[in-house]
Amino acid sequence: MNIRCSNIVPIPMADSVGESDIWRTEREFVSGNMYHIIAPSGTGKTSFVSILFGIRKDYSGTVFFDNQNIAHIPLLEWANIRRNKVSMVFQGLGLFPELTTLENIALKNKLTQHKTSAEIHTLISRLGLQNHIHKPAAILSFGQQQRVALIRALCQPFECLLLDEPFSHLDSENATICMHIIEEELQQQNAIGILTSLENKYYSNQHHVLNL
Amino acid sequence: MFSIYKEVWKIIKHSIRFWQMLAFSISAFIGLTIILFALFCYVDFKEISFHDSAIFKDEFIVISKKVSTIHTITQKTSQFTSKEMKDIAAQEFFTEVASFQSSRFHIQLYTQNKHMPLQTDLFFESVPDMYINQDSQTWTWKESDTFIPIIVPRNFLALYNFGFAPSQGLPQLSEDVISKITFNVRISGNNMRKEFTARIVNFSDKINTVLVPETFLQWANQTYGYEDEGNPSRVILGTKNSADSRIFEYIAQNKYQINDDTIQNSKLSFYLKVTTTIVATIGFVIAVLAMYLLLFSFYLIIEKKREKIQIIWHLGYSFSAIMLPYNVISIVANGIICIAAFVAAYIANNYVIHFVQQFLPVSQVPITVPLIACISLYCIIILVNFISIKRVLYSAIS
Repeated sequence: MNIRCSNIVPIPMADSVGESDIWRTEREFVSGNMYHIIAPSGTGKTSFVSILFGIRKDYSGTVFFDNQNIAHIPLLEWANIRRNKVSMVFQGLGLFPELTTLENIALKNKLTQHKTSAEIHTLISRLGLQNHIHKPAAILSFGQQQRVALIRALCQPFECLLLDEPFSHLDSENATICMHIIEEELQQQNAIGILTSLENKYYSNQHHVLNL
Repeated sequence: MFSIYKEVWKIIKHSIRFWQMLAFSISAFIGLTIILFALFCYVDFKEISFHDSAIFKDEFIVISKKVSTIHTITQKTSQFTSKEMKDIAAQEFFTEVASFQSSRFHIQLYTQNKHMPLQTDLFFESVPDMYINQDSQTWTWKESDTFIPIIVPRNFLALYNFGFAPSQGLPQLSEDVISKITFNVRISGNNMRKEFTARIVNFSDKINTVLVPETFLQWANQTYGYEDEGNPSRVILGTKNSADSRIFEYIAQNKYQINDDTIQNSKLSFYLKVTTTIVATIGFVIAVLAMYLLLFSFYLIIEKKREKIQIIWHLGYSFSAIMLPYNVISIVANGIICIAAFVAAYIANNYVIHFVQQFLPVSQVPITVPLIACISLYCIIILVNFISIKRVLYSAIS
């Protein structure tokens, strides 16, 4: 899948935003590439990934998935897209505190049947969560929760993976492991990766860096 | 396939308040029980109020004029004048007006049975066949027929069985037995006479007379009748609702008399209709409030969990999958309540029938009508819930 953004800008930010690598310009995201959006707070990182995920519709300009204008996708069709094409790690994570680590992951994987139990347990081990699988998400640290949310987002086929500040509470060692896993998955699925962060810190020279 | 809903169910379950559900269940149960109980009673009592409906059409009354001493002295009968007939016909609450025809010739009824020797003078009357529900094959007469079907008041048989038969040492007769006895009828007039056979084909509580088919009486009056047809002394009136209070006012105003049974039946039927309607309305109001309570609970649950529903939606769950747990709650909870209400209404009705049976000839009718009503109510409730859940959830995800 290719994503093309044509002259987009969120309506509430119309007065405060000038031309950037994404706003008010032509920007294309191509399969198999990782894009790293680096910008300070309030410049619209979350707004941008929310537009791509179909949550925000208050923008001007046009976004195309291949040649389809996403503004014309019916509301109920988004369920199908979010199950098969576009996955996202939310900045707020969106975990259910009353569910355990495994249940939070199962909530997604039972729907898609994308990963085997063994694959999930491997990911859990690689991210150092093996001792927390039966604990409710409510009692995990935010950094642990970020890793659970990442595993959950990987439990589905996707052509685009959106990561909204996924490493904000991770130490660099864990962030590096996460990045390796993300790159493996993107390669396997030949998907677009779009990652946002505050820091001016590049995880790989292979990434396209965009500024807002 | 339901395993995928285990986690979804766990999330939703937390938001359901036990007391809220209990309050809804109890009020819905009470409301539905009252509605169904009223319906059970209505169906049962409808049978008594129109006990005679097997023979006569439901909605009609018979009126006559009071017989006064003047009528006796002047030897005039208490007949309706043509002006009075026009006035009656002009009333909007009467749909049809027809007069009774009386026999104007001499009639003797006798048996040739040695065990039950009987000979009596008799009279016949007729009303238009449309007022009689009797099978058209038995309730018919044409000029070549020598057999006449007769309908007699049930009182006649009671008089015979409890008064006449014991005093004369004659056997008592059931309706079945007397219906099988063939009587001889001799009619005479204008210096002619003719023999017929006759049999009682049915009994009436509603009209106190001996009825024969209208075609027979018209023919016999023409052939054997001693004078021209006068004005009618009894009138049969079709009504939309024989319990209409305007009918009783009109009859009282004109000093007419109305058949007592008809009044009793009509009044009984009127009171039953009013009572059951009031009871059903109360039940309906309670049930509607209960349903509102349930919908409000769903609304609260969904509003409270709006954020979580949005996360589930963003994970890629379809809209119907998100609706499913709520619909399951609605289907199961309402199903249990409807079944419980139906059973409770049935038991209550059984108890009432048992009590009423002591003074009214009533029996429990099949449960078909209340059952169909219960199933229909259930479907309506589920449908209303479904639509409401869909609307609230849709607003939550958009």
